[in-house]
Amino acid sequence: MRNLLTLLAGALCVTTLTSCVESKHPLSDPAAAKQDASLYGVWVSKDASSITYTHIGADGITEEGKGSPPGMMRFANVNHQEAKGKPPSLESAGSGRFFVTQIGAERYANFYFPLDIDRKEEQLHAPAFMFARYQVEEDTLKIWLMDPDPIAKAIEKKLLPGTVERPAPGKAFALPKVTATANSEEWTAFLQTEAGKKSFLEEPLTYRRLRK
Amino acid sequence: MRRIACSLVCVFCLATLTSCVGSDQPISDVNTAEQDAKLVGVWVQVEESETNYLHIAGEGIAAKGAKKPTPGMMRYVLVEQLASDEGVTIGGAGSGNFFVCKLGDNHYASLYPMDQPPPEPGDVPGFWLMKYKVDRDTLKIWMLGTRELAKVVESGALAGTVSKPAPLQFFHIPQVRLTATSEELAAFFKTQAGDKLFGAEPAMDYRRLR
Repeated sequence: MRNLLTLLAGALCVTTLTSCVESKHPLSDPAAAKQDASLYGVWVSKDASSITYTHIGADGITEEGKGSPPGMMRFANVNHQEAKGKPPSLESAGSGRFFVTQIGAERYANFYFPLDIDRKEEQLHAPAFMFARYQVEEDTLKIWLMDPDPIAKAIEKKLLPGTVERPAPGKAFALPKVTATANSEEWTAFLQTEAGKKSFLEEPLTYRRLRK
Repeated sequence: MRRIACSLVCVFCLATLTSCVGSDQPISDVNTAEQDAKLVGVWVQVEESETNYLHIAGEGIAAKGAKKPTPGMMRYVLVEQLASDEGVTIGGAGSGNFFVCKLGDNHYASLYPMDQPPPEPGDVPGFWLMKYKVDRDTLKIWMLGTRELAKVVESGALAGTVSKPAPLQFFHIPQVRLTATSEELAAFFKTQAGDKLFGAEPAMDYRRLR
């Protein structure tokens, strides 16, 4: 059974049939992050058979006496399937936290992974992060997912600390498992290099703002 | 602690300051239920600083223990958004399954918690029963009034149990658990007394966003 609480980032990886790059460290300190109010609202992305609504705002769920860092944000993702010949259905919904990092002129989202369903304190420092570059222009949100291939090559060339597990030859649809162990400073330096700038998929996922 | 998976029902209960009424049985049989296409879409309710987005469509994923989705089963996902001077906050996202029926001119929904097996008599934690009406692009939802229902159960008109609140309990609302069969529930809700249990004013008033 597909898990109802599919993480946006995980869903994006599945959607785009790429493997995800997991990072042991975020791009910046979550405690120092600031909200990006330009992301607030309800965003819609449509394809041939489904509409995805992504609600974005500040992270409003707090543990008793322990608030999230002020810069922590939350998304809630609801996918409506509208395939021809089938009644409309809600295939998946998920919710998760992220915070943003600005490096130069570019903005990035640090998604916590895996999803912190039970919101335990230790998950505030989750063992893995996933990154995406994004851009908001008025009511259009573009998200570029990290491309595992250039990251894998950068790791193998020692441009970025991490590990790459290549699938056995001949295995259909097998994808490399890419784990970056670079710290925030190393990521920041890498993403400003030519290799770093090319480490995101060329085609963005495009969302339109439905409501603020 | 506010939980991420707070359900629509809990939101209703908080909004209306009532305790939720659980029922051992739904109002109708899920196996003969049909989806209500008028409910499908994204609904929004704005109440001062709080905006609730209610997504409704068919059940796309088979419930736990089921091989495939039940044809008449529907699903909701509720996303709560709060606005303040500091910005917009996403409070949480909750989801659940439900199925509907029509009794006379009125429409009713039987909700049950997410990730439960398909409803089997005596094998479910309880249903929450609601009345609803879709009129063009508005969706109104009525909840059972707990105090009124407690009186009905205590009078013996509807099978169930009533637990009185502790003397110092803040809201002083009894806990009501209905044990009536689906047929008994349907028969009672069709009466004037039964309809009155849902009150005159809807607990929730949504308008269609899409």
